[in-house]
Amino acid sequence: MGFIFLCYLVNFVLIFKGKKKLAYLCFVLSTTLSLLMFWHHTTSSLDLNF
Amino acid sequence: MHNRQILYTCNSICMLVVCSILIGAFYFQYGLGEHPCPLCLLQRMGMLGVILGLALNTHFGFRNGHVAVVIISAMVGVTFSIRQVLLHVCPEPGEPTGYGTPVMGMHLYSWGVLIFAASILSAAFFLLLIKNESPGTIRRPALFERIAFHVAAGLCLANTIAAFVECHFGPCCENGPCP
Repeated sequence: MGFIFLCYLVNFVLIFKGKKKLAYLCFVLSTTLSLLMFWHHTTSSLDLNF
Repeated sequence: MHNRQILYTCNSICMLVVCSILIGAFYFQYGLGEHPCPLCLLQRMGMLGVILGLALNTHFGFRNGHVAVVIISAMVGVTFSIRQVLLHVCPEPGEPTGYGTPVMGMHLYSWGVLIFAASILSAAFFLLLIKNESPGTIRRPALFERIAFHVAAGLCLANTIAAFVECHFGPCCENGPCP
C-alpha cells in the first residue's frame, strides 16, 4: 500500500518538475497497481475485504 | 489558445475540495482512532488520482487528456466505493451496520460514491468550458494554484507515511495495522 502511495507522490514530483510524459506513465503504473491491490484484497483468503 | 484564469481558480478549488475530504479521513484515523480499512486506503488513491488530473491542468494548461485522468481515477475510485457499499448494504442481525462512524447519516464509503460521481460531473463541465492548450504548454501557476498543489502534494506524502505505518509497502494485514 505504501509503495502505491509513493508512486502517487512521485507523480506529484514529476508534475512539479514539468515531466508530463513520465507523469502519465507513473499515473498508469499507480492506477494499475491500485487495481491489482483491489483484486488481491477481494480474492485473498485473509480477512481483508472490508 | 488561452483559458480564463477563473477556470484555473475553479480547478484549484476543486483540488482543495478533494483535499479537504482526505483531511477529514485523517481526522477519523488519528482524531477518532479509527484505523482505515484496506478498501478505504484504495479509495484515497482514487481521490489522489483525481487531484493529479487537476494538478496536470495547473502546470500544463487545460487539455482533454488531463480531464481524462480525472475521469479514469474517479471511475477506479467509485469501483472501490461501490464494492464497499455492497459489502455492507445488507447487515447481518446483531452485527454493527456499516464500517466506521457515519457522517450526516452516511458512512465514508457512501460519501465516496457521491464524491467520485461529483468528480465525473465536474470533469464533464470542465470539458464543456475549456479550450485545449497547445501540447507543449508549461504554465506558471498563480499563487493560489501553487498553494493548492503543495497542499495536495503534502497530503499525498502524509498518506504515504500513514499507509506505510499501517500496511508497510505490501498488502494490508488481517484485523488492522501490520505488526
